[in-house]
Amino acid sequence: MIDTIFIEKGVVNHSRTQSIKSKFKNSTIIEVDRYQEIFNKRSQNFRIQKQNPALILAEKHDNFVLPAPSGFGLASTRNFYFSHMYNCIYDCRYCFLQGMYSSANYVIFVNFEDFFDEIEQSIQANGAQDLTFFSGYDCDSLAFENITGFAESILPLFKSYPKVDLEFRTKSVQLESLKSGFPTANCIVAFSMMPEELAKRLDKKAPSIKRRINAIEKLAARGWPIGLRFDPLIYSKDWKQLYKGLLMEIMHRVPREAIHSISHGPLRYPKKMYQDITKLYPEELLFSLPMSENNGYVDYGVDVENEMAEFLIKNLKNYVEEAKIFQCVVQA
Amino acid sequence: MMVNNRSKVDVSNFEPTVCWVVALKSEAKPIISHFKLVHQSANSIFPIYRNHKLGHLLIVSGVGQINAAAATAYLASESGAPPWAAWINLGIAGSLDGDIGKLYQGVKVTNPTKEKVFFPGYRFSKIVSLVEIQTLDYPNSVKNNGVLHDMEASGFVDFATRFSCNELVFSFKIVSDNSEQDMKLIDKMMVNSLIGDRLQQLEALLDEIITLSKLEKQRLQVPDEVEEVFKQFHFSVTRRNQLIHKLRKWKVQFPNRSISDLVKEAKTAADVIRNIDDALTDMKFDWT
Ligand code: SF4
Repeated sequence: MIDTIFIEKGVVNHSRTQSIKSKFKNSTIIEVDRYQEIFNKRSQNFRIQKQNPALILAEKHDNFVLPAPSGFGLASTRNFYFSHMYNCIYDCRYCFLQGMYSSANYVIFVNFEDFFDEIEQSIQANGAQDLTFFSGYDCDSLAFENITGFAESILPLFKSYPKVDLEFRTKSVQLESLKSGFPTANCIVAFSMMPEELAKRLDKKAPSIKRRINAIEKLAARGWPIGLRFDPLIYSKDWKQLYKGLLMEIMHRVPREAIHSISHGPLRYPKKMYQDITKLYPEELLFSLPMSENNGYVDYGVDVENEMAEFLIKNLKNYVEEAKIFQCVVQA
Repeated sequence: MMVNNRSKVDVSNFEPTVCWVVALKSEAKPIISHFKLVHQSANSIFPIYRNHKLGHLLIVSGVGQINAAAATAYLASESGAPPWAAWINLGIAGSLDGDIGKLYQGVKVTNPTKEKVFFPGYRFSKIVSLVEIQTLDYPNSVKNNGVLHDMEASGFVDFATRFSCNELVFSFKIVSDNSEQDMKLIDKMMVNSLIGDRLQQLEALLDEIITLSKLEKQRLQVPDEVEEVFKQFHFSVTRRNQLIHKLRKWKVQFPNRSISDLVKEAKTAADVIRNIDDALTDMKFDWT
């Protein structure tokens, strides 16, 4: 799966480097001074790299925890995010990472403990309540769990701060450590969802919606708080019918008590990012459909966005109380 | 005295797909004969060979990274190689522990003198072993474990990545000397046979490289029909870019329709763009 691992010289002997390396016995190992030498360089081609991404093991030195960008968090709390990994093993056609980086290689920062220290400092500095930390802004936070063990390592920290939430955002269904472990009441496993018919076209290499719902069902039965993320909402001729079908399936399978929160957000890109992504995939149907520029963002337009949001809220009202439903909109 | 009557590579009806940059004639010979490349202009600064049908160009750069960089830039400008052309630097290299005659792909290329480092090429680990190449300004008898030593790769990669994307720039090296076989033993015949023996493996690599180049061409090439529209109406630079961008979207939506539908009733460039906009706005987001 991974044919080459580039390793920063400074972390060659790190125990986590050794453990990750041991999972890819046949990979070529190449040492580098700093990961920036190879990641996100001029003239790299994300689309070609994505056919065979390399793994880069590195050390992060600063900015472990950052305020969550607008449109990412839950509105009722103060939101922070952290990224122990850049890039993703899936290849969703709408993913903003393909417009953000010129490189599709996976970067894993092996110094998890430095993340944990800074998270703890942020918790203490902010009164240890009414905070949410998000993992999965620059990656799918659980898709590489079998390799990194990141979720397993961070859970004990959040067990000590029961009034602070941690969200893993994912499409992964390989969640053995969560499915078999005891749930942590303040750790939300949030799944990105869209109707199967659209996911088949757009969520490339990601588990099907059917498998995601199966995983949600198991985690919910185990007691894990579940997040549902309808973000981005994808427009189509028959979107109402498609989303209605998806919501019915979820409501039928996932008990409402298991739902921690539901958020939704429109498909929306900063103009430059939209241009870069469409250049990367000019033949992609998603980007040939009508979208327009509004205030520096490219989107479906406010009428479509509102109609979709209202439809979703209306259909979810009988499932969860409205206070659990959030709209996530990237602001200009 | 400046030579100013150098003739360019004849590029009429020719689109380079693969541009080889090779330091020595003895390294180039097996490639020239295998791919039936024909010598181009006698007046060229660097000898250039070509196979029109296959879309191959080969330049013999001479030894050293400055020569490699200069030859790369020269070939790019003389041939008008498109941004989807693949660039390949092929040659021999020294190694401490590599097997003589083994072909490697350089996935990390360093130049310790200039403190430069590159990570060229899509990696073909199923076909070839991957390695770090260190480019030096002089033949080196002191070698490092697991690293190949050459004299061109860094200069080549530095320049080739200005003409095509990093993932279409490749450095392939064949080990010519190691701790057990002295570099003084290397002669033309040996070089010839080292490279000749690897032609099959190089062919397998080329198949993959050409596939990537085709994908990149599909992504970047301006549709032929655009040129037709440009001939009929005056487009400013901004409108040209708009047309290319919008027409691509239109093509995705209506792969079987002809652009003449959009042009038929247009009187100006703006009309053409408006017609495309109208067609795209009418779309019903049908995913099925
Ligand atoms: S799962 Fe998320 S991060 Fe991964 S490709 Fe899809 S959208 Fe991007």
